[in-house]
Amino acid sequence: MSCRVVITGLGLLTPLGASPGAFWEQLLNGVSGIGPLTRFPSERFACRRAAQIDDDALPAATGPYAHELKRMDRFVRYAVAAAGGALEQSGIAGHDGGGVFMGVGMGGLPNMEAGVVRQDSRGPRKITPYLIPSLIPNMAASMTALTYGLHGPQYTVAGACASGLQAIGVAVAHIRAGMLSWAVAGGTEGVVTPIAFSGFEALRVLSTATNGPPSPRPFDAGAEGMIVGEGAAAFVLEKREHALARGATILGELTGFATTTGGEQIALQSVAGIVSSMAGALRDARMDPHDIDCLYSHASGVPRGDACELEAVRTVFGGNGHAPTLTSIKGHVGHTFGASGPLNLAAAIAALQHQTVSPVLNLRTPRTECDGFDVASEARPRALRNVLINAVGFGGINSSLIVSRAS
Amino acid sequence: MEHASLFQDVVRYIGEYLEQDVSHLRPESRVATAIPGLDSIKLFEMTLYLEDRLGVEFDETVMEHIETMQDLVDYVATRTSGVAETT
Repeated sequence: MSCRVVITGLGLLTPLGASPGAFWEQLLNGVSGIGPLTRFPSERFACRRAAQIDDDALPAATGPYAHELKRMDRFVRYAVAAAGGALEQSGIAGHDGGGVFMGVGMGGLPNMEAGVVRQDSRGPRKITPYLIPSLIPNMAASMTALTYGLHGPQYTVAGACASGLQAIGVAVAHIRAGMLSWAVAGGTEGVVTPIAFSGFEALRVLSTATNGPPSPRPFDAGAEGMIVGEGAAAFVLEKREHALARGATILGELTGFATTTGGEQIALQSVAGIVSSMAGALRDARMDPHDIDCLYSHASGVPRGDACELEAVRTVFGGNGHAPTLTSIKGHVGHTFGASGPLNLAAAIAALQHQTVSPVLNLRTPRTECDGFDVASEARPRALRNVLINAVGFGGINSSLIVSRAS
Repeated sequence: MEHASLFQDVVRYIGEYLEQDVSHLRPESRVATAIPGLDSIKLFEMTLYLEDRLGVEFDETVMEHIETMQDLVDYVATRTSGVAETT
């Protein structure tokens, strides 16, 4: 029988700050980390808002690779900061054998774009030799391992917006299989850069609302797009016996995970795909739908995607008389892509601890697909045992994770 | 010492780039060993930094042949005709 995997550390870097406690308080109180886009001139874009992480919020680069860390793209620095918080909380530093599993959807688009601009303006000779190491996707995991001296296996998962949740799932599988006693796992993203906005505007998925109700509006009938967010969340995952033996505080238990393929076109979600992912996580956890009390959804405010996930939720949970309360954090922090699943996990852990579901921000008129479901339009106290998390990515990637209250 | 002022500039710029005190550097100091933590990638980027600060362009392979700080300063002097830009 495979072992149980628990969470003993949590670290964050988000548009709502780096403190897990403050993150939760702001989710509960409807504080948004979304504001005017200030990273670059935004006049040429229809969407001029983002959930950015201020440079001031980044911890100073320290350790034996501080020089290199300063040159890394944002997604790397965010991951290292979040991992540091998780390791500190867990108190596991110094234990041998820790692995690193990090998900990232797009990697170093900002440094790639800056490199192209510099190449065009000053010539290829003036490109820094750190360009490639600063932007390749593995560097989030690599710099985490190097900075904190983690000598176990190191994996990078690139599964679009499901990357972070998939990375956590791969880490769980390694620990369950007895290949590791503990690991740092999570997701990171930092693509507030012009080419990302150009690409997302070409896909017609960004919110361009400038007047009227605030956006993005997950699950709302008036939803008209998402907002680009950035951030990272990392966790120390640990074999339960290992955590108990060292007296660690257990924040929650990861009881089920599944990831599946199934999409419609390369960038559209699939009801069947999300259904298979959620059903797979339930099977993995040996749970029935009525065991799930809350869903921290993928819903980002892109109408087609939100409707698709709701239909999948209805397929899995509808009619069982005990539907989970539905929520989304993307009205607070935007869509953080590869970090979105891990940020949902951070929120879900707090929800389990506080026995409260955080509200969907900007929800005024739930779309018709919400009928019959309890959508958290405000903070919802509820007995919570198990929380399901969804993350869905381009390429037909679906992933679902179940986190359970620490026992 | 030949090019004393230029030597001071080069030491200052190396310190700026590395964000550390390198005032221990002397003309006879060996570039590869006297600068703590100077691996090959740092050396390549430091060369770009020196180019920008000194207003010169280094030959692509010259750093492979430079051994001491005096060698470096002498080379820079040949590229600037002995007049270093300090902007």
